[in-house]
Amino acid sequence: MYARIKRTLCRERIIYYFIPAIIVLGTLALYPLINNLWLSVHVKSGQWSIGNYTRLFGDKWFWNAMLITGKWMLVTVAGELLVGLLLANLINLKMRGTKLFRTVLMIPWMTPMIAVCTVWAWMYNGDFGILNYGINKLLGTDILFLSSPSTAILWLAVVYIWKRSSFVMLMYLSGLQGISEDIYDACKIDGASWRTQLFKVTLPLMFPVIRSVLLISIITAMNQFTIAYSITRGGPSRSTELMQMYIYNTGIAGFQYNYGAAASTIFLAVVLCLAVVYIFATEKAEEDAF
Amino acid sequence: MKKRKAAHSALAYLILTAAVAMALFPYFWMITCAVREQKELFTIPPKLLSASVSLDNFTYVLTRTRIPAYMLNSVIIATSATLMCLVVAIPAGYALARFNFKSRKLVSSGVILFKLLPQSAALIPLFILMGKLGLMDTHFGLSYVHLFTMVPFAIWMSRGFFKTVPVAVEEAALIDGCSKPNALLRVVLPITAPGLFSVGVYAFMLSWEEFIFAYTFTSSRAKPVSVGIALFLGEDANLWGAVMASAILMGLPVLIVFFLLQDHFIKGIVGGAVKG
Amino acid sequence: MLSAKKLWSMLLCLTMLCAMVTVGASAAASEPLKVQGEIVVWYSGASESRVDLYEWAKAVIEKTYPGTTVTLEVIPMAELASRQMTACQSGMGPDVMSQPIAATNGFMKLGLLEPVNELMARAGRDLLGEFNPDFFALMRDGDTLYGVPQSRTALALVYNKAMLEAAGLTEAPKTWADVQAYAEKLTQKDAAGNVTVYGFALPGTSGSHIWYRLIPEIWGAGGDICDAEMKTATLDSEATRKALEYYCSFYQNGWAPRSMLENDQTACSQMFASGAVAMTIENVSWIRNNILKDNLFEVGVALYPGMSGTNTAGLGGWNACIPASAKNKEGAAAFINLVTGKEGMEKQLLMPALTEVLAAGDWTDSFYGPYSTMLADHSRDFPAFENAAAAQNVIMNMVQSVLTGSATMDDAIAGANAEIQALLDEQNAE
Repeated sequence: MYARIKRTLCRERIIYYFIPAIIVLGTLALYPLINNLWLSVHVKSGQWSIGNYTRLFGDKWFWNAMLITGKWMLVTVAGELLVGLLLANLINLKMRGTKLFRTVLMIPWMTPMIAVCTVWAWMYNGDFGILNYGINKLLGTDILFLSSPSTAILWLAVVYIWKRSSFVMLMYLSGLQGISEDIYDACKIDGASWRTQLFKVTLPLMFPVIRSVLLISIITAMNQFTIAYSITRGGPSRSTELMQMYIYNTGIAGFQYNYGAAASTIFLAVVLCLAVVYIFATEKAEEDAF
Repeated sequence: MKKRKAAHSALAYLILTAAVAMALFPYFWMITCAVREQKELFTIPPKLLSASVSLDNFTYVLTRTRIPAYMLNSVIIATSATLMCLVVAIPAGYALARFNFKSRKLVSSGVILFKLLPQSAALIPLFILMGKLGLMDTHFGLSYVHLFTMVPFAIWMSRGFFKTVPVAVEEAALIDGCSKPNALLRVVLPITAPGLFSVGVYAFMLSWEEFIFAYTFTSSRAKPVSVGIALFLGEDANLWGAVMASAILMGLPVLIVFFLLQDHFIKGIVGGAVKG
Repeated sequence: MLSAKKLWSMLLCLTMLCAMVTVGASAAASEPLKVQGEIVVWYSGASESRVDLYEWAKAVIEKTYPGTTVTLEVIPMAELASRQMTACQSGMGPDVMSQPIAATNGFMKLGLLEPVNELMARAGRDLLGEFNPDFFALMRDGDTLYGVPQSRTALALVYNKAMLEAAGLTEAPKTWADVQAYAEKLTQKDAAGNVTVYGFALPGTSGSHIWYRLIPEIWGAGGDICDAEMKTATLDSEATRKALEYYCSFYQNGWAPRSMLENDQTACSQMFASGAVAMTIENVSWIRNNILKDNLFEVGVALYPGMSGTNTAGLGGWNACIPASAKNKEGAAAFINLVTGKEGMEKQLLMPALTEVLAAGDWTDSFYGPYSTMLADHSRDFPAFENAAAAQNVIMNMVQSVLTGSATMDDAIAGANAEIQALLDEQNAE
């Protein structure tokens, strides 16, 4: 009897390889997601209610955070894409010393976000910041980076793009290096200009890479917290309050567990929908391109 | 034609140099601010380089603040998190790379899905749970929670590394009489050791710079240095010089490790992320 | 089967047990504190004297009770209220909390604090006798006290004497109109038109700093944030409008630093100390420790100018409290005893709350005089919000939206009024 149990258990089961992962992700991801959903449809006293969701729809600060996160995502993803592609193409030219360039350009990405944020916060300072001083000397005007609610988020985006471009550049570089030289030689024989080369050859071939990098960029951008917290704490007048910060402020610092859970459920739904829609839309586009 | 090529090269170099200057300027500023005296920081207009060089800020940070204690916390938390992460991710990554089982696509999609989850989705329930279990402000509690972000990445990266090992090598070992797990241990791991090491290092760095969970789940005993720096600006003095000094102290280990292991990293990150 | 012998022996044991317990209990009540293990202390502000005070207390405790360790943690002011609250609510709080007096009432009402009567009695203290009983007004529930006062302060206006004299101003400003006129005169520009010295600095960020500097202006203009019973928000009033206009006028006219929206009061005071700002509103501790001590320049102190006379300042200061979820309450009590005892009081925060030390000092010269007068004659408690941090943030957002122009004055005030009302409703619902 025991021998049989021992044999069954000791048999080669694929699931054994996954047991630690199942335990960890089950407790850290699955359980909280379900609990989050449960919390959002209850009130503090324990009653079932969808009041949290109705309250959210009328909460201007919730929509404020959504809008800001959306704006943030568009600006940073576009910025990363452009800068990353540009740098990748330049490095791919394989001139002398590009390895050094590549290494140095990666330093911002490797530095911890909070360390990066402290120095940028100091550089952006209105009176003692070196950046405004430089702009004053060169252009004669002042830019008060962190004092204007309409543009503060854009200046934060600059910091984020500065930090993340090299990561994106690496991805594109590996994609570029995957395109064989033969194709470019064929182009030269056909007499194609660099513009044709870029748009008709390079970009379509790079499409799979661009597609997966964009997805990562979008999701990572939406999940930011540190940058908004450490440079502006969500101000001025809550104009840089990204969604994750809103959830922390209401759910944890404001002790409204149920309300915060509702906000984070909606945010999660948005993120997942975005990912799914993106994957479907780009799959079709990829087929069309070929 | 040659002239054009030269002009193109010159333009490329120009742009790259400008990019490098922009990338490095904040570091230059961080260092010059850290080595000058406090009062030199608050002049209007700001000075690019100050006359005096002093290490006062570093001595202040190292002797009169709790930053060294926070760094120790960070080391403990990141190390235990990395060890746990490797134990979890290596078998899973191996299984995903090698075995062709029915739900394989589902599991891979699941791993990708977990990678996309925002931390705020788990924040509030974990806050309540950790409070009830008494894991608040403990090293173990925070290292365990760090696995939330680390494990999906680690599974994905190690899967990429395992895929690079030709199946023939394993089959040779199996023919020689090893069982599958044994084959994994004795043959595959040594081959992929450098790659897995870089997975470990990357995971360590994820934990080192993690902020939102650290901010929520620790208060003083287990506070890591990422939170320590964020809370540095105090009531009686915004000691920016000391903040710069502690930012340098926090970022330097990471940068040194990066320089030593660049190639491994890049291979791992690119391989893992793009071929997804 | 219960035999008589067994019954009697059981009864005897029971009686002995009861006797021991009763004797033990009464002994414990007057037993000295058992101090061991780790004591975690949170305080705010890293000014020299505070660091000295807490390091001294740490050294004494560790020497007197070998084997104990004291862990000191400095929390920045901007985070203080929310960090302490989150920590206490989730059970990861410290053992000793030095907190601003505005917060203690809220913590007490939420049940987050441990009563200190018994613990301090065991340390040999008579709280109501040694301190001014008024200091406990917001932290007592009947006879149960929830904190020990460390200091009490009221804000005053500070100015750079040399700068005022150079501008031909002989007296300190007394009213809003004076402050605005002085700020304009004291703002200096260089040849290119860039400002080198700002006339008057006010904080544009940090909820608590703005709270302490806007609410008194509203009081001075005749209004208040809510009614006396704390049931209705009264923020939407002409008084608030005037106060907000005054507060924002400096930034809008260029007499306050351009970085106002990024500056908390600490940044403003640092600019004052480095000569980039001529006037600001700051606490006696900061000025003494950062300017007087190093003799940077001559500081003039004046009563807090309000709309038509001296403002009533909000009572500030620090209490030492023990969270209900503290792990080492007895150690905490011993630490608090040290810090609020005679020797501790002499080392530290101003003004010391211990009656003995306050009476012994001379606080009437030209520097301390106005501060003492403000404290004695022109101060009152702020309305006690349970979630003080939230209320302070509402006011901060109101000020920031007017400073940045992202909302009209009326909208900003109306919005803030609604949010304060929501906080009051939540507070009263329990």
